[in-house]
Amino acid sequence: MTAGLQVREQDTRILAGPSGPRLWLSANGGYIASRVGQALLAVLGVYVLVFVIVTVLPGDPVSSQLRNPENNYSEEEIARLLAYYKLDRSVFEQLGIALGRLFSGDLGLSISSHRPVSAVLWEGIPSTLQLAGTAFVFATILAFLIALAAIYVPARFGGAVFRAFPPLFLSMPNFLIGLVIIDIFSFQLGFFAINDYDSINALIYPAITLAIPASAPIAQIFLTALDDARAQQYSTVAISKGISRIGLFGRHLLPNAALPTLTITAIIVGDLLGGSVLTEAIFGRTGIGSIIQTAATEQDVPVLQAAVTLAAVLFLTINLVVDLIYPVLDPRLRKAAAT
Amino acid sequence: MRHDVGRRQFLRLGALLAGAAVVAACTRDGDSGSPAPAGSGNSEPKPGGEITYLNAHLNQGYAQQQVSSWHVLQVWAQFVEYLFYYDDEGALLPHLASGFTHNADFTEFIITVREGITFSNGEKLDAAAVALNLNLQGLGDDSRGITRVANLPETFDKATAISATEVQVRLTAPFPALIPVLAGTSTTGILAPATLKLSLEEQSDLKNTYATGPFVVDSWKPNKEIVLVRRDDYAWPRPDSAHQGPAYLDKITIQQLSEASLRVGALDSGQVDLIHYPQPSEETGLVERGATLLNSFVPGSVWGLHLRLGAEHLDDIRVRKALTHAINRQEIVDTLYSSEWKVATGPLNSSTPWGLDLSDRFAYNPDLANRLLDEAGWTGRDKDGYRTKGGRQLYFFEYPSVFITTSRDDLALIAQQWKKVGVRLELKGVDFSNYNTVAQQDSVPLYEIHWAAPHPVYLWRWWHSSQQNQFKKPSAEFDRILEDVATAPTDAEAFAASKKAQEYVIDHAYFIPVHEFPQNFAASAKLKGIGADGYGRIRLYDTWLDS
Repeated sequence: MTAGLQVREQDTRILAGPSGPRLWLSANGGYIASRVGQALLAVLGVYVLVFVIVTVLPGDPVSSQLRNPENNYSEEEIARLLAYYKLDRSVFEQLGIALGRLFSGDLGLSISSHRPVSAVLWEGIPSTLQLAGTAFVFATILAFLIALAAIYVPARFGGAVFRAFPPLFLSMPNFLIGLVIIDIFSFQLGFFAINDYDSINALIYPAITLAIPASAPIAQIFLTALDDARAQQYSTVAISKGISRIGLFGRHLLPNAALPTLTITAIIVGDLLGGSVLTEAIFGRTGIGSIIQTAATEQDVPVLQAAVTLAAVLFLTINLVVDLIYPVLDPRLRKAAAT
Repeated sequence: MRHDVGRRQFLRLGALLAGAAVVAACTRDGDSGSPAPAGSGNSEPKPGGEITYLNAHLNQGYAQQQVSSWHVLQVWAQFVEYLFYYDDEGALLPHLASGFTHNADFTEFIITVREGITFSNGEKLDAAAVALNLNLQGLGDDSRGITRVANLPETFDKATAISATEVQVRLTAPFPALIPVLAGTSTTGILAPATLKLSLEEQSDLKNTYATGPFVVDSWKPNKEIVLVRRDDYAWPRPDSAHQGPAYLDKITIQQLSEASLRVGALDSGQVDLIHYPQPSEETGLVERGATLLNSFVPGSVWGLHLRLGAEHLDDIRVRKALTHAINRQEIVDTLYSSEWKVATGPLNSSTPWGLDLSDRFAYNPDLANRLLDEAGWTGRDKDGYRTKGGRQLYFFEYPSVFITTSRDDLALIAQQWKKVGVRLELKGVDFSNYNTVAQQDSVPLYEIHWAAPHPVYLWRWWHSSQQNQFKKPSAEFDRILEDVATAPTDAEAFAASKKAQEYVIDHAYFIPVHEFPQNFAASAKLKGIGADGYGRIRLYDTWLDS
């Protein structure tokens, strides 16, 4: 977390420029292009890295299927299949083939399902975006409410209790939350059917499952940032001048707490996009997380490369957007360079 | 030479052609009607209705010869049919075929195809279509990356349609068990020529699968849901079916839910009608709560341990025998499973018609196990109580199967039981993709299986040193016994020859049988007429909803 914040501080020096968001953006087109270029290089790096990691591991997907003694294939037959999938080539040749596919936009065929990788991914992308997006909204609202309650509910009404929520939520594993939700709301109360995959419930309940632990770090950072801002002299001065609670929050606390919260939020969104394997499994959803998990299990290199790269693209895009939002939110960053 | 599938089988075939009433009178012992499927109760079958069935896993692709698992079979069995099959009593019966003949040395077979059958895309089932299927199954297609069906003999040469209803299959070497293998292999379903001519990529799309079964694929969401609908012109059910004509159910929705406890919860709460693989520990509770349980004991399938004869300590038959006598099988079943599960009585399960009950030869007897180990010189003990000889501990290790969810629990209990006679068993871990490579190393002393064997020729497949042998130490004597099994010209002779092989693996302690391994299902009380065939495949053709 700290490292992430330090990086953001370095970024602010680069981001500085003429004041006014639109003006800044127009004046910093080169910077944006540079960040996009870096992101593309990172994506390429991820693609190659996944290939290298999977390739250096012992075994290969064809052998792992055909060498099951129950199947009884001869070594000659296995060799022919390895040749068909070009798994008999050297690592460098295989990497060249994989890169060729990437640059031509053809992601190839899944080795385990024999279907186009693009089709396999497309089956998971909408589900993942829906789930991650909904969970993110829920998590943000929940975190916002927890932080506000912790600050504004008086101690005599248990305000301090809300400060215990983030560590409590963080320690609750997704699968446990999911199983409890299903047992109570589906099996006991009958609010939704676990296999009704097309209903809105099939999105809401898994999103709640994901949102509870995801809200914890956002709430923690937001709360800490609010506390910090409230302890600053400008807050003390504003209070002494009789500013209302809402005014203090809107004009002083929220703007100053927004940047660190935005940073952690970007990381959380990244986690939600790629890290919902257990929730997807429990609720029977097919998303990028479960596709990655299946592909890793079966050493399905084309699918694994494409899915991890897609997750990286999404993660990098969000981080890029957040980086570009910083100066829009904070005038100090735009003015810094000028001074 | 005219070959009978078997007198009883032909009687059954005649019964099929004569009609349902005769079918009911023509069964194995002639003392009952068609097998009464589980949950049939007393109510009358009613057409119509939709059911939801939860599978533990649905595939991303369904090209027949590339995918084979118990999960796939449960889906496949509803719309793909076979030339021959094994019924739930282990009898070989014709279905899309009406019979077969073969020459004297079993290098040429003529399979006769039934008339009047069509695929769901309208194509006709004839000898040409069957030949196309058999050639792809027997030879594969390297240019499309399609593997041959490995259970078929490598000596498969060619299948040719010699008339509208007759297919000639030529082999380059004798293989008497060709028809049993066609019946007992999951990836030999007969598909429409239009499906077979597609690329591997296109065949993997379930919507392109056209077959002859009572249901057809209506829609498919990979890894998520398959919707099957009734085929209204279906009129060629298997001889062991309880009715004729189209299936009763209008629609079957098969969905994936990987977590076993959630599948049980969904059934209990009435959200679904049928589930595969309820947790064995939940079976008793499910029955108490009104569900119907279906445990299908696939012929041959016994969960047990192959011993690697070349691994450390296992070259001594006294040690091997001590290991098998030190296992309390009843305790394993009582502790981990429901009363529906059975301890093993031989290398093949008790539903195998030609399986032997050899339980006396490997019964739990810790005193005998201790005596054998003492005789083998393992008389010392280390600080943990394990036996030692020459300063070395009597130690074995195993990689629990990544394919069998109950494996680790079984082995953990066996480790406790072996510890009582001073033997140490360590359970190691390996990931899914490397299991087949790691667990098959000669130095790994134990290898677990629960393979199916509908015909004795599968023993030759399992154990002959030229085949799947996991003992990893060829025995000329044992190979000869297995060759007698594989070359036996009749089923009766194959059955007889198989007895020597079964006795050999027990008497030489090559294999430690532990418990039988069923395919288990649970259904809601309103679902009637569910059943499974002799390969553990659930059949929903006779199933109906009792409102």
